[in-house]
Amino acid sequence: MKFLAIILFSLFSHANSLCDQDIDKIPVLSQGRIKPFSVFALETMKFLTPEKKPLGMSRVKATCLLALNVFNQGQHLDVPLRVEYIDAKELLKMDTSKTSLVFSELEGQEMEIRSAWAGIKENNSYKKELNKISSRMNLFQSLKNGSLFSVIDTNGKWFELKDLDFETFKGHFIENEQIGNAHILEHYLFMYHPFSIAILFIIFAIFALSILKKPNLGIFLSIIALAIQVLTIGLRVYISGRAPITNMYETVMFSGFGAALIALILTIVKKDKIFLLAGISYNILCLFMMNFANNMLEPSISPLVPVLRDNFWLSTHVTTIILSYAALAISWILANIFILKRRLGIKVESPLRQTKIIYQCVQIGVVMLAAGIILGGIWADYSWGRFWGWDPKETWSLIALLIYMAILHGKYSSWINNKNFIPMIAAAFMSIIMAWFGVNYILASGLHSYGFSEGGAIFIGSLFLVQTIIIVLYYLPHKSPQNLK
Amino acid sequence: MKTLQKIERFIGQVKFAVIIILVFAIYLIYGTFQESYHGAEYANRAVYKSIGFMLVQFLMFISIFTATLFRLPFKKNLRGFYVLHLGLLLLFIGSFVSYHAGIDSSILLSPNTPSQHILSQQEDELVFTSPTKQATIPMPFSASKKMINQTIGKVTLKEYLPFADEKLEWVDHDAANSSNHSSTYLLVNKMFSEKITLSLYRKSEFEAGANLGPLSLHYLPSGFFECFKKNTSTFVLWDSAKQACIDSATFQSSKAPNGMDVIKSNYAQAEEIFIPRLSPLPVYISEEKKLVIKQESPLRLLNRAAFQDKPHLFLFGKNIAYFDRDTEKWIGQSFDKEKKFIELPWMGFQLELKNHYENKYPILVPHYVTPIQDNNKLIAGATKALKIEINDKGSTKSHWLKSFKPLKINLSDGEYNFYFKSKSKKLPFQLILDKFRAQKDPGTNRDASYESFVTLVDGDTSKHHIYMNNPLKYKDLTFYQSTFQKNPKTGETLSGLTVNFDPGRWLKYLGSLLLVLGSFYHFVLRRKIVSLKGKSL
Repeated sequence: MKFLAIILFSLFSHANSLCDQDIDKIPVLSQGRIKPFSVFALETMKFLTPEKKPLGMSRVKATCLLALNVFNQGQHLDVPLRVEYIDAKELLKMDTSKTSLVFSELEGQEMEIRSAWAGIKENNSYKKELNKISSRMNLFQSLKNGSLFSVIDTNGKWFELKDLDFETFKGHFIENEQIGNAHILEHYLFMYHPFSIAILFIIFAIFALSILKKPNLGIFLSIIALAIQVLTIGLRVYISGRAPITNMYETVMFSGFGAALIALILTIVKKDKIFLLAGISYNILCLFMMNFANNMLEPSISPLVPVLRDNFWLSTHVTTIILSYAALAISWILANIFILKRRLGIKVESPLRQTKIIYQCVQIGVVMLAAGIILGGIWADYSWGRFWGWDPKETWSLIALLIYMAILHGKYSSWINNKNFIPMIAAAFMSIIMAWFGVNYILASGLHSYGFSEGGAIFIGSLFLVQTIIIVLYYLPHKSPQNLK
Repeated sequence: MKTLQKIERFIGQVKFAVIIILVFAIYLIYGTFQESYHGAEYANRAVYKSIGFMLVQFLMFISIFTATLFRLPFKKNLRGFYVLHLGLLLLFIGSFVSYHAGIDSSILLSPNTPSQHILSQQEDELVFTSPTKQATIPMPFSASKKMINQTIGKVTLKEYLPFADEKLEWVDHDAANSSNHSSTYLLVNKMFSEKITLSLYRKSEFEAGANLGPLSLHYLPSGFFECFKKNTSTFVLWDSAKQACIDSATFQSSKAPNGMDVIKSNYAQAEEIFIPRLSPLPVYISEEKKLVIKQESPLRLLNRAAFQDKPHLFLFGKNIAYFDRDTEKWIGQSFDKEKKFIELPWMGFQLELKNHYENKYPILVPHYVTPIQDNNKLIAGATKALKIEINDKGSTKSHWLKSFKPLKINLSDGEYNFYFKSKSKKLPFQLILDKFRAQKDPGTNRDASYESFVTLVDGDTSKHHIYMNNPLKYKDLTFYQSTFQKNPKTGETLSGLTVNFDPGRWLKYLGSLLLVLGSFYHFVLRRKIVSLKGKSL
């Protein structure tokens, strides 16, 4: 079979020489945005198939060959489409270790998928997956029938492929710089991963700070990592034309960057490298999440919902909130570093000094959080006519603020001593996680929707669990009390 | 006196602040989970606008207030503290003013029609009209069921259910005959199962037909089963007065020159003409040479050919009939003691008769349930209901008014009407929607923006453009673009605006400003950190 496929492939390949050319940077219009063909292919194929090289070819080539079907060119590639949920695999009589099923077989079972979908009353993960399978099949078909993307002619008009003939299409499917260079930069942003280089520099910086004990080298490496992130984030702002804080991916990106920046400033001002160590540790956590948690954090740039289309409020309110999360994240990392150091018996600063260090980050975070919540209230008043509406997102940010306020007040009243302050600050960050991720991944779809079993909720749950274990460890009796006094 | 002072001192203490902040936070956490599970309206009624929650906020206010008082006279190093806490107090006062005197409503504008009424988004009212009275009664703003017990003439308002689901109940009636029956069927296959209740009883809320995807159900008097199981003619004729099927031998069909079927029947010594394409009732030609339908005739004629292509199931209580496309024949089947299930010829469906009554009819009775939200929709408890008792001529009967379905009752002194509506207010001016525009992101179905072009009439007229992040401000009121909807009947687009009056706004803004400046000063600018004087473990 494979042999035959290779022969067929080589026969057809002449007709499809278009798809072998450098078509990466050709602008196409899809999902409401102009983007390079490479990014369009990446997003489309990532959604459709778990294979990085669908049927052994690049995503760009596979997408191109499928798109040419509408002109009776190209190939009828039978791409394996994603099937992820176990019940869906059983319904489709699949081998449960596989994660995909070719389109032709899915098409043959379309009735089964539809009637199974109709038979599920609750909106659970299984139903959502069946929904997704259907939308993958629809997307695949609209790619093949020429309605998934448009190309631009020399007069700046966009045409769907189904409205063109092959010769005109070839005339329009070319690189075009009249519409600016944002799409070309987007190609470079998505094809070369500048954040991976930043990760490398941060690893070296952590090594320099903690093992080599060379703070200046650590600061230098961190500055390079920050510079790479500034450029990357700047590129994203240029491409999307808006503040880089409009979805989960971007807020994680911006908070990691913000934490490293705040930490760098604190390190220089307070002359203590511990801030930088915590800041870049958090930064690297964020970068790892962005690289590896693509199910939860979607990197692609997509158009905004109408209410967010206000750059002034978006950049002031969300930036303030995210920077406050960043400052509180530094306090969280510091608290955990101190807990683990103590547990492992590593010589540490006095609890008073630890508290002071953490406290400095918490104050910045709390002031910014309060300011951010109020800015949100003013934006809501300006856009919806109400300052406050007990919407879960705003309520949870208030809860987070209240929890930090309770700890700070407890500290003033001497209810909370320096020993208990540290684990409390570590735990308090869970309220930020809840306001940031929990509202979207657990509360938003309604608790009834069984949102618990999905990626985001699993992430939050594991984070809570790990944090609880670390705090329990702190309070368990341990061996090295001598360096605490 | 001493205890009072002690209490005062405790309330002014930081420890009390910690307790009250934590109680407030826990209350809020509870509120967000309630909202996620039960929906925003329930959370508002049960938590955010409940007395308990108000009390916690009040205690928080008192705590901040006494804490500030205790730190007087003025100390220089507490400047940040004073400003911050004064800001908080102003925020609380501002919110209280907004809550009490503010307006949070909406208005729906139809194209080229003046609108003047704004509707409250949360409060409902009962509108009641009788031949002698008209009244508007506010419904309680509660999350659980509430007894109203208010009597107006013959009418007593009983319990109000803000969240209810309807349960099916069977009620006796005294007009039992073969054309007044009602049944519940269960339609199942491997993937699908649905209970369907159908009724021929006039007063029942249930209909005599249903559509389940491609399958259509028709519920008919049991006497007509005889017509349907025969295969002598595609036409069936029955007498609805006598509940009888008329033998096909008594009528013949022919074709008119234009191709329409014409049926002549000779039943009970009367000749009738039917044109099934026009009406199931007989027709005659009037003196003005016009075709007139005999509305009062008891005879009905049906062309079964129209029900042969797509799945149609005819139900007659204990009997059913359908057209089998394999044998090209109409098939009649009956439920009995041995035959609990009937196999249907479509997609492995089976039909079971669950209930069948001639002397009872089905009604839907509301029961209170805590609502459940799924994907921003209520899947339980979406109905509001009010029990209304009516005492007429010495006998008392109760009725349910449900959600926005009006209730009409005829009594000895005339017609009584009841319906729910959102509490409304009349504006001193009018708004007219000139144009509504919704823009999509290119190449998608996603909304990019929606905008309303309105004319405001208040003596003079003025034109305004309202869109997201650009509201219209007029006479202390602010109009925000919030939604739009299509009128399914006319196809017109209606524009939904949120209407807002917030007298506490400037207090809240001032409070916010003080809060931010104060906390910035307190935490960041002040060098000395008061509480970090070093306490040993």
